[in-house]
Amino acid sequence: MCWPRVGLLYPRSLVPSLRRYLRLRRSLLIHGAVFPERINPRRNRLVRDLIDGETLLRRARAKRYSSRYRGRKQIAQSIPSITFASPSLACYGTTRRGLCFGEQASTENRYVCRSTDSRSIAGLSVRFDLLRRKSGWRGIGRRTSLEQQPLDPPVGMVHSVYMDAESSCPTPTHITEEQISFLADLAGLQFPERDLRSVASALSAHLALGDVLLREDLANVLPTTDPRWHD
Amino acid sequence: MIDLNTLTVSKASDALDSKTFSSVELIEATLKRIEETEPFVHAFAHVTAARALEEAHVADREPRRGPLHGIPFAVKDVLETRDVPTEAGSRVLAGFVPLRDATAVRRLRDAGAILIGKHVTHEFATGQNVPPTRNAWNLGHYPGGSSAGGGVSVAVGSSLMALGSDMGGSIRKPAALNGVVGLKPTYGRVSASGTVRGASVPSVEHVGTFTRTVEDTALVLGAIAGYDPADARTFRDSIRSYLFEIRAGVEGVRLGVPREEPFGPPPDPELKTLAEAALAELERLGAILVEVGLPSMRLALPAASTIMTAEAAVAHREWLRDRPDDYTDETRRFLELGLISPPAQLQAAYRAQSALRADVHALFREAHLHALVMPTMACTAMPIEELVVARDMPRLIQYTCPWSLIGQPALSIPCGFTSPSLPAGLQIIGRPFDESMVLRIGYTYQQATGWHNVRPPVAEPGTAREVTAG
Repeated sequence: MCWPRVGLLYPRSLVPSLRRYLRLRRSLLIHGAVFPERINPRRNRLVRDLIDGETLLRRARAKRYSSRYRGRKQIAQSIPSITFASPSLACYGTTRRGLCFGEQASTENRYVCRSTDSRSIAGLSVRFDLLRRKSGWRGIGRRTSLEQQPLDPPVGMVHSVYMDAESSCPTPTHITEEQISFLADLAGLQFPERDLRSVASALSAHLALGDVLLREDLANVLPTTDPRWHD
Repeated sequence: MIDLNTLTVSKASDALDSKTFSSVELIEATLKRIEETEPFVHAFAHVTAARALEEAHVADREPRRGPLHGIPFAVKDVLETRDVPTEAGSRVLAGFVPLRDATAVRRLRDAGAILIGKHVTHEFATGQNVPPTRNAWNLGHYPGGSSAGGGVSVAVGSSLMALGSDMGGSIRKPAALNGVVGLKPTYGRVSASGTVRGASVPSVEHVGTFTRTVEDTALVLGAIAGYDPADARTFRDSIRSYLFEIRAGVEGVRLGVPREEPFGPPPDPELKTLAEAALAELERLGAILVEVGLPSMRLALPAASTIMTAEAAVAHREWLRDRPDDYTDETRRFLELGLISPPAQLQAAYRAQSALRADVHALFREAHLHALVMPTMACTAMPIEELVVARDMPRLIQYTCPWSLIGQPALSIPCGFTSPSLPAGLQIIGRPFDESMVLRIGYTYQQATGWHNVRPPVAEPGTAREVTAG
């Protein structure tokens, strides 16, 4: 199974400055990063983002970043790490003391998140554990080194939150004619002598289309119709 | 003799200034064009010929109030017009005659423009049914919607300018499919007060324009934009003349080119090729192209669909209960869905709307963009008999609805033709309230290309019958 998007738990509190965070975020955005949800830093101090792991790995290997990447990689060889067993997972970020990046272990089909700051690893690990518990996915966030056994591919959380090629065509919810009749009653509508199957199937399709919204973590977004940007 | 095939608002204004022709002559020529083309394109729901001629006589006697003085215009049949029926393409509102003008209509009239009629729209502008209007370039093809009449009418020359409303692409779609310029301004830039009850979706509705050139769009927008006490969504900011800035060129302007994946299936190859050619032209003119990712746009269609369904339905509850047979099946089902859908989904859609807006803001700021550029449509106008609204609607609005949802200004300009001679549109999306930049990019492109000067065959005098017969 191919996973075009991967999860990154990005510790906002570990970013030394807003400027640095924005610089990173800008480069990630330009390179196709996904930022579908945010956790209010004031309340949670963590920002969870998604990035395209493959893109970032390509970028990290690109010539313009190579010297920086190599330098960090040398430092990173001897520091704590988190291993991702899923072949398409990678991690990238910055910490207080250095760069936290993803790389593919050459002999094993794994990606490693390293950091020059052990506290950031701890923070990442905690978040990964939370995600793992929430999703029931066993294949994420083992706080260890490369000795981990390959784990199952991600199911549950990643699949449900992040729409990929498959989930863009969600399975319609089954709505019965009795349910339509009940809902219509509640809404003050009347469907006398009508075949409710077409309404039921239309509602099923409508709910299926909007299902991705319910699965997004948008709890901390305040709705507004104000189109202005407050720079 | 007035040549309506080449006439634009600014040319007509110059001619009226220099008394090359009078407003009465212009209105008469326009009414004649309506007579010639209406049997084929069905763009008008109502024509106010007598009243327009009467107003034209008055306009000719008065000193000119501005560039729009004495110029004919038509409006989508969802915008209220005093003493003229406003039926929103429905049987429910049949014979409804408002007592006031919508704000945008009133402002055009205050500028001296003359209303010549109301354009056909989909039933309550929901886009669920297929109205009788036909594509200006091929009478067997879909004209876009829901402001179909506006796009077609401007293309064939039976209106020089028109007002439409846009909730998911209802201005830009017909503009692209009929080869004219369509502008959806920023949410709140133009008052939507006076949108008839039942055709209003408050969170995403915009009133915008159809013209033949970007210069004309700047003229019309300057007349209708601005704060309106009757519409709390408008803002008290100053409105400059949009004409001043459109000639500044695009040298050094940074244009983001969004990757297509999050928006939905890729566009038709021909449309993609035309968009790429337009981008290359803009680059040649000095713009800097930056490829950008907007992955969260995958939420746009579900969010827009949820909001439109729910908000559109609100005004219909009693009508749906008391007069269900006055709706077409498709529209009734669409509106009923809005009334029985779970509120949690609507709430999530509102939040997604804000999240998308924040993401696009971040993208513009961090990539230092002035605008985004992409195709207006993912597909060309399909034959009417092949159109299945429920199936095709997502594809028809996949590139337009995100910008209606988050309220940024978006302009569609003609950028070429696909192989069966159907026009294609290029969409330019700007920062909120930065219509000047959007118009500037569009104007520069139009000066370098001639796509906006190509008129459909039905607009050539005497050829309408031959086209239909063929």
